[in-house]
Amino acid sequence: MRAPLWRRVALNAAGVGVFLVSAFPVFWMISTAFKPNGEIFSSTPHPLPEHPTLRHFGSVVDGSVAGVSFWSYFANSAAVAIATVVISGLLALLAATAVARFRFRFRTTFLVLLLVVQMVPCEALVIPLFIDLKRMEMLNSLVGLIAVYVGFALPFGVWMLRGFVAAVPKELEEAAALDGAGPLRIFFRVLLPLVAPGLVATSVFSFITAWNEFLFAYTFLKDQDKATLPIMLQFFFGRSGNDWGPIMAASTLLTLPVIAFFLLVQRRMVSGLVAGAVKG
Amino acid sequence: MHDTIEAHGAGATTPAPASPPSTSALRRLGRALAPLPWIGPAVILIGAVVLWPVIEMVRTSLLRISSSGATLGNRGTGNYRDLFDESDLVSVLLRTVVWVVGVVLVTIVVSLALGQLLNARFPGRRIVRWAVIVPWAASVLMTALTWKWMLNYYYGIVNKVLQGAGLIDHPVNWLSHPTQAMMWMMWVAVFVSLPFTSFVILAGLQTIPEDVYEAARVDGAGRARTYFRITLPLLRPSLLVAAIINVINVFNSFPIIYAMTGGGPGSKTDTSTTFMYKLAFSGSGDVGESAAMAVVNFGLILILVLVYLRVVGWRGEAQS
Repeated sequence: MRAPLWRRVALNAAGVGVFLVSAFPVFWMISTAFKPNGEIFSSTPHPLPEHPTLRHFGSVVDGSVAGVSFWSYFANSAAVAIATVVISGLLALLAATAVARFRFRFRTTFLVLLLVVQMVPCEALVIPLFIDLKRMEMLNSLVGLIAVYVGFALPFGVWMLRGFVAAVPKELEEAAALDGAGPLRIFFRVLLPLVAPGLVATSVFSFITAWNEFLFAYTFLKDQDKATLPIMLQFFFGRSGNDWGPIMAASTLLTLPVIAFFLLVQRRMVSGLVAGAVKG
Repeated sequence: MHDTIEAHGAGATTPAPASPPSTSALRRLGRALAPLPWIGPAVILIGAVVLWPVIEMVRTSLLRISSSGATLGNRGTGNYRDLFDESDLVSVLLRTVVWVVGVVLVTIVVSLALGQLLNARFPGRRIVRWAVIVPWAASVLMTALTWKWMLNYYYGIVNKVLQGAGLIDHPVNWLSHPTQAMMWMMWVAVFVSLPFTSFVILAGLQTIPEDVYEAARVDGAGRARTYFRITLPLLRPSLLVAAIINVINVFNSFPIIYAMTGGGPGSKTDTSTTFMYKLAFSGSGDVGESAAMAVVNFGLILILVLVYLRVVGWRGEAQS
């Protein structure tokens, strides 16, 4: 049955409207990043740059504005995000396996704890964590920041992966055990490949969170050579509040890779996350 | 599989069998400890990064802390008295409630419409879904900065468009007026909350079987009636999750306000989260008072969530 004409027209119009509003800020960011200053600070802005330039990207990458090269921030961000993904993924999978497969005394307590912890407003903990890290002399250290990100990523990760582990048929593991495989071998050779899709979904999520996180990185990392990309953005913005060309170029460099990556994996990722959220 | 692992765990912790009672005690201990290598690291990290700081936050709110982070002794309720003496506190708290309730309410209403749109069949649906998802992957800080640039007094595109459409006569310096700045920041907060919320609702819509609608059509129910009597009640679990997660996220949202107005002028656009941050890290920072603010924030979130659950549960009873 085909919908009536007016309904199809209305749906398409709404679709176009939603598309324009959602995508416009990113479009405007990229467009501004390529405009020479004369076109940025113009009383009649054009949608697209008339004389596109890479100058703003140049000043971001060579560090002539921020003092430290873009690649230093990029390397720190990549190190923090990858370490967070790998460590939290592994630890969450271990815990999820225990929760889904073993019966032990504090199992229910642990599950309730996971739920309660997800309700805790992390931002309120910036003060005590700042004090803790300062006492342990781990302020200004990427390791401290990674530990904090992993701690925040774990409750959600365990909760998500629990469902994926539980969905793996036990018979497979029992067959492997009969063939003489030890628990570690079963874990890596049987379970890991089968829960890989769930692991991908949680990993993408924790990667994006770590890559974009601002408040904790800004509070803990005070040296520019230790800082991550969102702090570079803040630095451009804080020092030269009106230099919109470099700010938008830096925003583009920070954002585009993640958006491209996210769109590539979104189908799997969104369904996985949403299923976990609604079930939980 | 769990037999293998328990046997393994018990074997590892049980030495050669001695007298029968001690063996069984040890074996029981071994069995209790068997899951430890699996969940231990996760428990330790969650404890160190989330649970312990919560305790320490409460403790810090009762201490006198120097600006270098050293503890200078007990302060009783002094930090709370300082906090409640802040002349801006009442307006900041009221603004926080307006911010949270307003942003979450608008987000949910818009997401209900968006979910319906994304669930409908029309050409280009996939592209619209992609566009809606973009602000989810993008950093909130970057989105806030881009909006700040678009709202620029002299060169911002928003003023040009509104002037071109004849909606305003002169360019407006949006972010320097507290009320207008608040409205725009609430819009940005809605903007970044929409992807997650509308996809949770979309997932909820997809779980509603087609024959329910079929039955409604046979009974002669109109579109509006079908939506309010069937779709909306069946969406309740999704809405519950979306609303609670949004309340927590929006309450704690820091980068939007930090980037767009810095809470200024004065504290006229601060919410209690940015206010808490300023108490600790700006000027003569007072970590103790800031911790007191964090404790109050905790309480506020708890109250908001409980009130919400109460309202929802109460309505549910009235309906059944």
